[in-house]
Amino acid sequence: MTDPLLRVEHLRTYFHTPAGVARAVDDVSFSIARGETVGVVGESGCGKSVTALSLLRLIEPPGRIESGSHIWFEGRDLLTLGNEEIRQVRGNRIAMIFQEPMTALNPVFTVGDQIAEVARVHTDISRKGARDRAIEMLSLVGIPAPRERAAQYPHQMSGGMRQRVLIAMALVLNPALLIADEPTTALDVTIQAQILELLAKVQQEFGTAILLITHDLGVVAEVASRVVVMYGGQVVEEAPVRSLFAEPAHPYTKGLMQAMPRVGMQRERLATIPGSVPPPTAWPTGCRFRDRCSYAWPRCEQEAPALIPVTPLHSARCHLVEGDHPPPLAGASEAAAR
Amino acid sequence: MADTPVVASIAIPAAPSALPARPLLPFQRTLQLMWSERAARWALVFVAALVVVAVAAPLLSPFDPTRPLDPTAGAAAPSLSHWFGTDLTSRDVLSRMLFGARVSLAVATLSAILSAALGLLYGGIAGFLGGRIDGAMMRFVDSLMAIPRLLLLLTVLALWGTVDVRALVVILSLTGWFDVARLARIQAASLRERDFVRAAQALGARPWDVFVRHVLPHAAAPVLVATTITIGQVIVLEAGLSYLGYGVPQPTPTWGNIIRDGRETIATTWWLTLFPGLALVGTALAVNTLADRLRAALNPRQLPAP
Repeated sequence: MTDPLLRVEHLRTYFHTPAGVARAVDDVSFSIARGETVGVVGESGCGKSVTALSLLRLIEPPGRIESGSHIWFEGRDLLTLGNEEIRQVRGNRIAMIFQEPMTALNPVFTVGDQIAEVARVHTDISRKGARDRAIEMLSLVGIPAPRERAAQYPHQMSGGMRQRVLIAMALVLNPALLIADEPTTALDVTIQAQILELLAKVQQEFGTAILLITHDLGVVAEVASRVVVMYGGQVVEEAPVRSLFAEPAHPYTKGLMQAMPRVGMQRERLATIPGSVPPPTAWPTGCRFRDRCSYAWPRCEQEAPALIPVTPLHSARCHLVEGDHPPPLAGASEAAAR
Repeated sequence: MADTPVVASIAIPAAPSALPARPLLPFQRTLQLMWSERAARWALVFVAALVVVAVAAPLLSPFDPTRPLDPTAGAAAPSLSHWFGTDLTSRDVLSRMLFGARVSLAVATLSAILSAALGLLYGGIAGFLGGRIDGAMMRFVDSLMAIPRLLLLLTVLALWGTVDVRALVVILSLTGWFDVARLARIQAASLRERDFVRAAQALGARPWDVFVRHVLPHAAAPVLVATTITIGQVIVLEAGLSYLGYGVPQPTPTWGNIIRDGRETIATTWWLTLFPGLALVGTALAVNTLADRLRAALNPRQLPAP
């Protein structure tokens, strides 16, 4: 197999706070091929955003990427680059868009100016050339009357339009990888669909790989080809999107699926996963999900499960995958079996 | 005197609704907001008139401000030929006050701008960098702030002997930037966490670019207000120093110097204290009102929805 575009190995990002060491990302490994869309899903606090920021080395103290972590990208380990070298990667080879289009643009500059800035930072392009490029990008991300829009300020635009501007900013230099951190969370459902469509279009046209971070499985199902499920700072399941939805292997993934409303569903209460994510300063021993898992049995407390392959492309961090497990607890079993 | 043309040049005609609404520039909108309020309107007119008077002093002054008119005569009370009277060495007080406005305003404005620039840069960098550098830089400012400014100024000026106006501006600037630095630091520290600063960093902006483009402009409004307040303070401070004999050296006229000239004969030559005193009070009041209303007008929450 050819080398993937990005290969994250044993990434550990810890926050050394007075309240203890928060292991926000704890030994995460995954990879992205050129032009591929990988979804990272998980609930708040599972470490998905910290993973994304770690890739660009935007972690600020007291956070630290621990030694032993590797982020291989285009043949180099990003963690060994100097400050100036990593700055050249940001925006140029790897770009990122954020969750809040309302606040991710600087209110005092026109959007054209902000798109042009990215080009000017990384290339010798002239002021005029950068402005033309900005207008071209605006039209590419589907903004009508791009010339007029380029001269407008962020407050003159709607949320969906601003997210398009942010995507335009991220794509000015045609990066190999686009990290999208919850790009549709702050938008209306109809606008969400448009933005996802735009991302898919961009990917086809430019061959950009996308790392899509979201807590919305519906979004993942729509655009990703492979999914990484995170829980407690770890990858708990990784699979091609079809096999993840067809046969989720980890109890947490199953729980997420059951918590999702479906068309044609009877009017009944959605299933929930009991409890909440434990604080990252105090993960439980053994399996980090065991306190909330209806399948938990003593082994889960004694031994932390490894990421075990279910099929060659599908793996899960759960003792269940190995087969010999006692029947799930009564009561929980009915919900799980449905 | 020059009131009417000044008013006309500042007034912004209300945009007729039939015209296509061109968005107002930020400073136009600010002016418009301030103009809508009576106190701010008076303050604007007063300050504008003062600036005109200071700039046009050589044209407006009826006499030479430094040359005694009649070496044999003493101070003369206000009369038709000398509206504000003459001082003990027979110089025309009105002319001295007009030229004095020049010195006072120039010294105050220049040193306020210089100290604002210094404070903005220093505090902005401290807040932007954060961490230990921030701590060290701000503790240094705190220790300087612990020394009373007037005491510091008097010490420096007393050791210096005579200072010319340029040196005075420098000294006033170097002792006046602490408040602005603290203000700029708070702004920069909160801006550092904002999403658009994050986004700029994620797209590879250089730290200096992030600072100049994304942090400084947002610190501008509070710093502008602080600078205006500083101008008012420095006008009074400079007058105080001149009064004590440590400010702008004679025979250069300043309001403080004129009051100083009349301090021993205040019982008989009241006009030497009253007119420059009124000018000082009026200016300080107008500048402070302006700063206060500017603060309100620059508050983004007070702007009409776009």
